[in-house]
Amino acid sequence: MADYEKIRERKLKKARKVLRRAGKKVQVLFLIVAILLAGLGGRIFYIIYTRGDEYTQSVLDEQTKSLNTVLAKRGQIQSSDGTVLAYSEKMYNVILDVAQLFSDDEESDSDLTGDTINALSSYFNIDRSELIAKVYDNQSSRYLKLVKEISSEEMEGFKNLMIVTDDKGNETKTSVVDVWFEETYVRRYPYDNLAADVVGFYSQNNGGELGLELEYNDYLTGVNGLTYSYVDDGLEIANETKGVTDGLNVVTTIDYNIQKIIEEKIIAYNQEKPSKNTAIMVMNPSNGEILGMASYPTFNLNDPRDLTKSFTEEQLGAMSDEDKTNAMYDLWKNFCVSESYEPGSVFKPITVAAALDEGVVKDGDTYVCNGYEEVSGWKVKCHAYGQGGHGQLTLEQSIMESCNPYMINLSIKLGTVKFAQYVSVFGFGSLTGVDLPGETGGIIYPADKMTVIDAATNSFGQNINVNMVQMLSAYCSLIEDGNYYQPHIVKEIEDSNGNVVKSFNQTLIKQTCTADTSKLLRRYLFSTVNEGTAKKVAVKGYSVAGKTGTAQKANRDEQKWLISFIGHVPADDPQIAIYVIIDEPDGTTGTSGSSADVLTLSHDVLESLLPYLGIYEDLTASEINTQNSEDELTVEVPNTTQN
Amino acid sequence: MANDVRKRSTNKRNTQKDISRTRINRQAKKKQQNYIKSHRRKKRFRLNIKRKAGFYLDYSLMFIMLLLIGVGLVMVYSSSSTTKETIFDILKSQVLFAVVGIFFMILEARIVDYHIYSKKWVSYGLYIFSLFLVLLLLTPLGKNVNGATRWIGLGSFSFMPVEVVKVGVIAALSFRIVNLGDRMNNTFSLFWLWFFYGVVPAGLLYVISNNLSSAIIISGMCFIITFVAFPGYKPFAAVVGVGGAFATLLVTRLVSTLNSGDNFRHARILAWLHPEDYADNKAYQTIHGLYAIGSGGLFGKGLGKSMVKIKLPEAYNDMIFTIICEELGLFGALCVLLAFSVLLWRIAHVAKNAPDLLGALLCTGVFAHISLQVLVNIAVVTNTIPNTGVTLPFISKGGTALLILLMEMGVVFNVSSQIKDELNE
Repeated sequence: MADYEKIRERKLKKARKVLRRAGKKVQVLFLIVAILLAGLGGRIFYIIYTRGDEYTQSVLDEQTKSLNTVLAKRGQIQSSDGTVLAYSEKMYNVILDVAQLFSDDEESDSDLTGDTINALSSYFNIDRSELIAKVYDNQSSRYLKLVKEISSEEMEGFKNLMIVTDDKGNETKTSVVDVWFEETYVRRYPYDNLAADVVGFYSQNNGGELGLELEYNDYLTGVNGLTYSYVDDGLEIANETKGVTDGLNVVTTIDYNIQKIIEEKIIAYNQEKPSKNTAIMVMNPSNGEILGMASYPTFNLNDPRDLTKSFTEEQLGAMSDEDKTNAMYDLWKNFCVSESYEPGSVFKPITVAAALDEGVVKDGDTYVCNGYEEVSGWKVKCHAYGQGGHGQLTLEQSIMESCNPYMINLSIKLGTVKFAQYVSVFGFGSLTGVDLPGETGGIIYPADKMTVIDAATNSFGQNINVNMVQMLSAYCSLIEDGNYYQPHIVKEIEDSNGNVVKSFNQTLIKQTCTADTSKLLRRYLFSTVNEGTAKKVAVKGYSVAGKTGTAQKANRDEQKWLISFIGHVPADDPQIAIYVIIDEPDGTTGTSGSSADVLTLSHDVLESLLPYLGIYEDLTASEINTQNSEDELTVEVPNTTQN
Repeated sequence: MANDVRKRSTNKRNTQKDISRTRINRQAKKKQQNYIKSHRRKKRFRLNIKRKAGFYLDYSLMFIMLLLIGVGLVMVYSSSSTTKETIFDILKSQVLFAVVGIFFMILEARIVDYHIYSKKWVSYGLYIFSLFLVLLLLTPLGKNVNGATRWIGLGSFSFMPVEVVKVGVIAALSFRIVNLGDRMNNTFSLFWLWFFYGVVPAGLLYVISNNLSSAIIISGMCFIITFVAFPGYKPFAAVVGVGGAFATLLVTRLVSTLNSGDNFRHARILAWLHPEDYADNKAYQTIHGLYAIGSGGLFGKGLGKSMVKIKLPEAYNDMIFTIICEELGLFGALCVLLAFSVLLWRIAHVAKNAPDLLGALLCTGVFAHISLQVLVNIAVVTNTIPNTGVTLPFISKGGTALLILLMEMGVVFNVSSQIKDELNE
């Protein structure tokens, strides 16, 4: 063997050694990689095993995608005679797809952006430079709302600019592009202020916010239709549409004309003598339907957040945001339902009815009024205190003259337990369940807490808090042979075709007093208007019955008053009952000292109302000379509250 | 007679001076010529056999590679079918690159002997050229896509220099190691190699094109090639141990200190740990990949029936494995993993039996390239490691990557054809 071969052999041997070593390492390497690959296979299995269902669900969720909603039309609110008080109108928002516009413009030969902007600015009277600035500020936007709430005619007009139809009926697109119209519904209240507290208003964000809009929101709101797309098994996009269901219409028991009359009278009175609150409720005693309900101050339903009508600019300027909010809530508050107050003498018929029912007094029983009554050490005055009292009075005269000592006497005879029971039976202290939001329950003394002085002051309507619906419902049962009907303001729920879906008929809740008692009281109340303190209410040719009330408001030191009249027509066969309240008449001083204002107001209302209602002038009615009538005077009530 | 004279004369010359390499070669050549002369008939017969068989081809390797490319084309078509540019754009370019790539692969396998890489100017030239291409990214030729400059555009043609760097590293590093010879046993030279062929290109890529994933892949390749060439395990075990401990420490610290990620990388880590919380932005891809894997079940929804691909932008790129999972299920995914295992096994086999160290190291480089990309890609889509964009070799869409891979495979086939057996000796 030659040397060079030996050398070569040695070199080769060494190279083979290196090669073998490398081969071994490659094997190790492959083993590591194989183990890692197996580990990753296990990881995949682990994912499928533990999270498989969850992720499958996620994929399915992503497969469906809602495209657009077909808005449901909100139902109408109507009066009982079919006048629409609230309705929704379909309007359109003008939307510009800016991003699409720019990309289309790039591909097109003509100046799409310029043409579109020109068309928009001239058609909708938008300032051109402003529009251009707006468009260039939102270059990537696909949804730029340019104009809000245009009518369908306006929309059609603009659409004609976008698509031109030639003689053969072929449609060609113009250079006005990428504008589309978004459907929206706008809530309209054609009579602005009419029954504002009752109807309430609606806002896009919060739905119904007040009154019937809130109470019947579920009925009024329809079910939006939905078009959604999803990816089916063949990876095709399929569309599915769920039909739209419009909201139901709410038919109220409110009579448009009654409502209009009472509101007009309230405004007329308040223009002359502004009061803190003035409220009138008209009710049908034979079924509990509320025919009219109005309060002052009121607001415009189409612009409920506008305070400029109620306050001067200076006042508004001085108000903080919180003040403004509170002022708005005060304005929106429905006095007839959400406010409780001490009713005063209008409560007396209730006391008399309780006493008659319990037999502690009978028709014709007499009692001597000295102008005041001592109860548990308190000296409770009568409004005839100044004249030395009413003297001897029959039961009928006690109502006619609105005598406090007689009532105190009756309550003492009844005893606190019986008296408290009757207060509850007539529905005071608990919610009437009238279908309006925000009803307040009032405050009464329960039977076990009531003391003699409480019963004494309660007997003429002080130290007891009631709301108007409670008071009027109790009064209605009193004159309607004791039948207490559920007070309600909605008659029917109708679908958009006028089919009745649900109707709220008269519901007899309870018997509050006997028919005999009721008959006696009808006579007493008629006499009150005919000859007693409520003479000024009398309307020629009609037998009006009723009772006045002058209540001193809580915080007796402030000497503020709430004067009221509650009554019904015709006296013996009641067809309507009316309740009028003026809270703090003469502005805030409230020291008018007499119920004359409320009587005049009630008279005015009834005078306009009765002919409209078609109530026959009855024979029993006689002309009443109201010239020298004695109004019920205000009387100071001792502060007997224990707290 | 003449033989004897020549022998004598060489012996005489050998005694006079050292034997040079060229002389040995010349002698060997002459010896072979003599051998051929004396065995001409035998040789001709053998050559005939060789010609008939074409040349030696590792059929199983070829088959499994074509299978993976086929699966890749089908899946690219499936995952791009819902996008706007379907068959005419994405699939067409992919098929084109596959065909061109296979052409180049055959060229390299049959005609270009891999020993061309034993020439200094070829190997180093390739490496320096690839780094030059990376630097070209800084010039206006570099195309900025999605905030990172990774493409070089020449007219309508564009490619990723990253892929060329991978080839350059394989070639230059293999050549350098062969050149080092015994000096390779020195641990110091190991660090030197890591620096020049790992840290430098990886750092360059990370700084210039903000491409962390490619930097990781390239340093990993450098690591693996030196691992195979270096005798012993200690430095590698140390690097893996320290690196693992450091990563664990970093993650645990991040988790304990950070709740909201303000930094890009922090957010990435947090998105990895809680993909559900970041489903809308950072972890959108990850969570949708998991949706795809999870909803595929054992046998999948069937080819072309993926739902996630609609939601997943560019599902045919990094996330294509999740679409395989969704459409073909766990079964299909495991099949693909198995195919990769077989492919890697064949490459490892070639590397092990390579005729010389250069061939072995070149094959190891290809092995490292493919295995690292597969491991990182699948680990990412299964949310095993934080999200980083690495494509799945042969399957993901990507022209440059496929072309380069096929050319690398050409080298492997060339090495395999030169495996020595009795006949080739």
